[in-house]
Amino acid sequence: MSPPALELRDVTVRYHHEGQPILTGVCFALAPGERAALLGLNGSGKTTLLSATAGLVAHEGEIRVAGDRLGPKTAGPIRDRIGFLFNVPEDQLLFPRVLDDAAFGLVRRGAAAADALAQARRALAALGVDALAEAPLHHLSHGQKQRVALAGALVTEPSLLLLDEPTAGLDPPGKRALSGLLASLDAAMLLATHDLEFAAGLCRRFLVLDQGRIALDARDPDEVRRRWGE
Amino acid sequence: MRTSLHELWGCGRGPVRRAAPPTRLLAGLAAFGGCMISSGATVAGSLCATSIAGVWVLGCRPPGRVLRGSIVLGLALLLPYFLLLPLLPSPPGETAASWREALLVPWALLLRGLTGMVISVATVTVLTGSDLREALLRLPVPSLLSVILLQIVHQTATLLYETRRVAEAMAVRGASSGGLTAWRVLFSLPQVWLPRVILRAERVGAAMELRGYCDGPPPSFTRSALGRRDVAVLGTAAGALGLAISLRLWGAP
Repeated sequence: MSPPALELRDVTVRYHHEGQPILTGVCFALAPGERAALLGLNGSGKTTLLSATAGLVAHEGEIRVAGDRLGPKTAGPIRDRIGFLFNVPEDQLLFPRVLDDAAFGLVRRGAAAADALAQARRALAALGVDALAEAPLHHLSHGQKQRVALAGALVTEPSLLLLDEPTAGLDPPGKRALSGLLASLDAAMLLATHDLEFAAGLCRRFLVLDQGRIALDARDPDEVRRRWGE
Repeated sequence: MRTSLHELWGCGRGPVRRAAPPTRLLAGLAAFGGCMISSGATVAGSLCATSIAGVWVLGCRPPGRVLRGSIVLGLALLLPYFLLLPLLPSPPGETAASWREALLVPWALLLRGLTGMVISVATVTVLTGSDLREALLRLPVPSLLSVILLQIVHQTATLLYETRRVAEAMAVRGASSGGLTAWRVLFSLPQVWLPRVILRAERVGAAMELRGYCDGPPPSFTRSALGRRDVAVLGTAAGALGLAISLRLWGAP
């Protein structure tokens, strides 16, 4: 039996050594291919949880990706299996040209530049932004940057996707296209969002964070709606 | 393709623009070096520096407003040095020779500063962000230095766009209309702006770490072959540099 795509055991994160923890004793596991939504109010710890999972912030407890424990020595190889979308997409766009940015992940893994660029074009096309391939990044709108950043994350076909507010700035057709695209992927995914309707259409599991703790782990979106209403 | 650098500086339209990116950067560096080496104390040296700058400007053909702007800025920065003549260790006396000797000091500063500035600006106008990346990757520049340099250029453009947004927000909220409110906003701006820049830098750093940006040599996406034009541009630039060195070493004192 294959190990969980992602497993968190008693994970606690605090930004200051003595300070109040941002996450406290978080435990859950995602099966390979499982799609879960991470919901919660502003400041509940969603972004911190995603950052900790990618090894960007120090944590106590245990985080495993496909059975490998996250630590200083394993962070690099583990990140190679993760596709990450930041909540401010322009922060993760590191190249002046859209196509170069989307192809970077592949080239870094040793793919030939021509193959990487062709694959990057396909990833951009899947997200409806292939017409922007030659465009400078600074000419794009927020929603377009979001799609380009997502193309860069998806192009390497990661086994685990960590998406922070993937629908922020997307118009309704963009949301529908994104939902369809994500649903077609085999990767396990954890998406932090406030968009319960989007999450309900895509995910079969809903984790609700409240003040840094998992307050609800549900399969029924209606149950989340009831709790959300409270 | 107009990219961030060109939006800031404008786009050069000279024949140098059709040379390969490493050629443009290398020739620009050679022209810059030639001007720095040229002696301002001799007529030949002065002519050499101004000729190199002139030829390079013709080769790059930067937009007129950019060229004019850089010349005006250079003059504004460097002409005040002539006001320091009376404070020199041996201030100019009555004779023409002592005046000439004293004038050579600020003249050398003006010559090198202005030609260096004009050449730098002209070079930037013929390099897009992608060109700069390609040039750095194909030249023997340490990869860590390349990636840091490229990110500085890329993020500077991002910060400039953010600055524009802040300026627009100030205008919309009435903080640009002058008076006490404007000054209050202006003084409080660093407290808002600086943490924002630091946070952005932290997030960009996290993204670079996550995407493995500094893990290996930076990737190259395009490969342009060197042709006859490159040989001509590089040959001319090397010739100019050689001439400047020769005049400096063996020219008249």
